[in-house]
Amino acid sequence: MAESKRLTLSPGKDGVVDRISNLPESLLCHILSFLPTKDSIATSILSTRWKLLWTLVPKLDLDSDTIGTSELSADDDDDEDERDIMFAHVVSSVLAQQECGELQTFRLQWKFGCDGSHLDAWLRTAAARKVKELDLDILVIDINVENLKLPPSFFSCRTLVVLKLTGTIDIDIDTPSLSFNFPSLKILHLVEILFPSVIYSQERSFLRLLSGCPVLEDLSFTTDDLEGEYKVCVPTLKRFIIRDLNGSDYELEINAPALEYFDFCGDLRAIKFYEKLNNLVQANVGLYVYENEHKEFYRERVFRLFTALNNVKFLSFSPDGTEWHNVGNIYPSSFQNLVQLDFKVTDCNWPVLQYLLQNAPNLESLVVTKGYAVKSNLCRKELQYDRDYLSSHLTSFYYGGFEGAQQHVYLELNEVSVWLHLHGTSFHVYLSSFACLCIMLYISTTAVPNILPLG
Amino acid sequence: MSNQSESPNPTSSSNKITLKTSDNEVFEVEEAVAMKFCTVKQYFDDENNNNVTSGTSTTLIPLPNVESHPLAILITYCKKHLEIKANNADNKKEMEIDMEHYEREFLKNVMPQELTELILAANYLNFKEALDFFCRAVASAIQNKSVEYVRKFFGLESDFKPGEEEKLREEFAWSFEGVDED
Repeated sequence: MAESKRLTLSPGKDGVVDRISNLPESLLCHILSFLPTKDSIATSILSTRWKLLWTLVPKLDLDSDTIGTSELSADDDDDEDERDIMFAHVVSSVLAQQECGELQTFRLQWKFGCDGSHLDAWLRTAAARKVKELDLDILVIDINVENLKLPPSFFSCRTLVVLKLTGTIDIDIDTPSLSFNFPSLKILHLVEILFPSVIYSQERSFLRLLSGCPVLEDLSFTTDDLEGEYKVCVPTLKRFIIRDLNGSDYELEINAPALEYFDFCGDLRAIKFYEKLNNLVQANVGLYVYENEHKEFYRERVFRLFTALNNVKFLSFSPDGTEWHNVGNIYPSSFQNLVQLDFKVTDCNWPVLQYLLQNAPNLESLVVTKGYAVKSNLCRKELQYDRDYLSSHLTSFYYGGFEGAQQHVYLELNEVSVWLHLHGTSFHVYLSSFACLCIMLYISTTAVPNILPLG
Repeated sequence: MSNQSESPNPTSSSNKITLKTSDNEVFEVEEAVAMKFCTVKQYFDDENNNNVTSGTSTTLIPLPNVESHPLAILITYCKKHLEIKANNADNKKEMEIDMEHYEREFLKNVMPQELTELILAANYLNFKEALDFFCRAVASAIQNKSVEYVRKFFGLESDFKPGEEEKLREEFAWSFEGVDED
């Protein structure tokens, strides 16, 4: 964030920003609140006015990669230990010197080799100081060192609104005595967090986690060790992001009627919807179907998925695997709201694109790019195209990402037919809405099968 | 990007509100713009409540702590802000991209010397987006910079007693490491 927002201010002609130091204390602290703690503390020696300002900033934001880097070399074990000790000392002393009472943000990026025992005390301090946003990115470098566990007292941090956990942190809350209560939590991001290895315990931990967050709006998780079956029932959920890295063996039954944004990448088997998502605006879906899966099974799954997504306005869809060529026209009803479709095309999913186009009467913008290449001979099929189904609103069409091959794209614009012969890799066409009746593609590469435009 | 600056918020009425600055300049702005300034909104709501019975409505709002120069800049910023929001009502990501692009261009026309008065004006008007934007701009400008650079940037000199600065420098040595070249 800070990087992208890096702005081009520099001292004026005479090298001064007039009076900025004269701003009231509260505004100077507000400026400091946009800086990592390291930079905030560095302002303490600007002048006596600034000496203690940083202690009033209700934020701790420290990254072990930026601290203690200059004196010590990275690959020496002793130095590693020393850096751990130094970092721990820095965090503790910052917390001790802050005068601001309540803590807005506690953000820590910490790669360490030996000793994470301090974390417990810091989190207790943060919870006692009514922390609202907690962001931990922890990496235990030494495999002999035990993963971090969050202190049980932390699981009832009532003030927490944002919780982001990344890395080697164990989430094991399958202890009956453990109360779990985040009544204010709206945003929960779990990235590569480790759940208990026993499935039963894993399922219970996960469910207790979710049921302890009654006002959750934004849930995001990436995992490669999740197993078992889960019911994700969160009536308040608006954003849901699931990233499945290594084809985890889990199944989520999702019941989140308020969902506005859905982002999933993984195995088709992993998600299951029962209801149409009436409030859905945007969906990014990357789906993989295994070859050995029974045809009826995935037809039914795809049908359920598209029924759930039927109200979507912006859809990005990437169907992977070889089975998509014979999914057939199983889509529930037309996507009346769909205005933007971003499709990753492969040898085998070409028919899916076609069916989607035929079921999107209000589509305005179409983006077709190349998906993951799959070698297959299954998809040499000619498809029937009915131009009456195609959106008459299409105004923007982008086609690209197919490197190397010569491409011919056929555009049929109302009664004028245009052939585009392309040697490059992409093009972008803005079509005037009145002129555009339908688009047909004929691409003479091996990447895309024979689809002949209606003559 | 379409040019819709005439009606940044199509749902709101096109009522105008008149703002009078400390240097006696008068600005006529759309209600939707003025309502982003919480201080103005508060004043406006209070006035309306008081005038419910009499039926009159005073729309001249004095701003004794704001000069015309920063107010003009804030109004421009606010209009664009509303316009970008309206154009990307469904797409938060697109909105953020447009906004970031606009803000980057916007800052090119802001002199560092103007920042103080802009921050004070945004703070007085209680216009949170602008306040955060300008404060973030100052923060970004001094991030990862040497103490000498920041002093020059802020136009201030050290007023520490001899030895005091060295002591602080030693205590927080870790926070002065790895800064960019000036």
